[in-house]
Amino acid sequence: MSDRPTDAAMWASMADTLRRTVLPNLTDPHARNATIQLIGMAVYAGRRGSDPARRRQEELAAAMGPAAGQDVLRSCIAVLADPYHRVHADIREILERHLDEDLATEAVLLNAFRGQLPDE
Amino acid sequence: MNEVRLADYLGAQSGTPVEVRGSRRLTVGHSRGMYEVDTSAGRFVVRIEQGGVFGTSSAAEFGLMQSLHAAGFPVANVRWFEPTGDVLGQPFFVMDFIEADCHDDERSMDETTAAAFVRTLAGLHALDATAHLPAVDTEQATHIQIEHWRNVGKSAGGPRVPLLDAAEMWLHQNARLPRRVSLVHGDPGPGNVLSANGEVLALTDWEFAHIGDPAEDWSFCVSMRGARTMPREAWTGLFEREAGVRMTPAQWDYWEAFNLYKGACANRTCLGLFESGANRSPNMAIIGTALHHAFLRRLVDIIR
Repeated sequence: MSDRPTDAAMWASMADTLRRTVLPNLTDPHARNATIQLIGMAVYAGRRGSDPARRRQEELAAAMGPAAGQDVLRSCIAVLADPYHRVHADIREILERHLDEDLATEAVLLNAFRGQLPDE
Repeated sequence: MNEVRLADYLGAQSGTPVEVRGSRRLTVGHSRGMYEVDTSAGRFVVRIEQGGVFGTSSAAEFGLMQSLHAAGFPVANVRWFEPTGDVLGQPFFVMDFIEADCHDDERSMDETTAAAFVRTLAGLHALDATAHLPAVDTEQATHIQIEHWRNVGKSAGGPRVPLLDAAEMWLHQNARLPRRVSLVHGDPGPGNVLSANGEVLALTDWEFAHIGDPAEDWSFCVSMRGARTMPREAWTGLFEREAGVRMTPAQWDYWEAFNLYKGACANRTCLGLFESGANRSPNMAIIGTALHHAFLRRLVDIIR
């Protein structure tokens, strides 16, 4: 154990304190909504892990091969615009999988936006 | 909200000292902070920008509401527009408070009110749009809107979103020439209607209004604002009965995709504002990520 608290422990503390100490004392609807969203955000921040952007670009570049060029995401747009491109279906499948991964990680945010507290 | 500064402003605008007795934030809406304000000069609603959320303009909204009110269309009477941000930290405008029915769920709406709302929306579409907004070439109307939302989305910065760009291309390629263009509300449906005893008192939230294909509004109500109010078939039946609106399944799909694209682009602005510090509210981070992705997922499913 380090001599300082981890990010995960601090985010967990934030979510727990907002849930148990702050929220029960709030009556203003706007303040309650904002606090539930903060709880969701704290849970999300503690669980989301490292930024997948680089890994994803490498996966896309590998699927495209030389067609990936310098700007992988721009190349993806060109591939998606051409339904006859040899990797059109592959790139679409990868991008949709990445989108679904984001949605899974962000489910706690979406629920908080709808006023639902995360499971304990 | 700084009630002292607001009182000074209202006094200066009305030419007589005004006392602000109290204010409360109305929780509806993300692009504007809405406050109900009780003053010695009457009850008002103060609609405050939130750092540029959704890339919309209070000036345009204020001008359109003023024009529609003068024409007798049911909108709140707007009083004063403060564009500088010097008074409350953000631009805002002030409008008359309208006493309307309240619901625990802002998206709930009984059948009588829903029918009245549909007639009101059809009435909006039947107005001479060019009396209120600059004319738009019918052939270009939908393409202009796609470009507009593309630019709003891009203005947020951040990495490219290839699936969103692919959707933009699909929308251009599949756009049909509108039979006519109308004044389109852009965000119509439950939650943006003030009503009492089954009558519509006002449509609210005009920030997305523009000239375009009225199909955009009907689709938005069914698939976005009114989605949990009643089933799709109930809405479309109401549209046909009350306003003679009929669209093919392909048209419904197109306009749902359009509205999801619009929403996905608009939502992206929230992440930019959150990151820049222009708006630190947690809903900005959520709308800019989770909601943006949720819209994109539905959009991708339609255009596949």
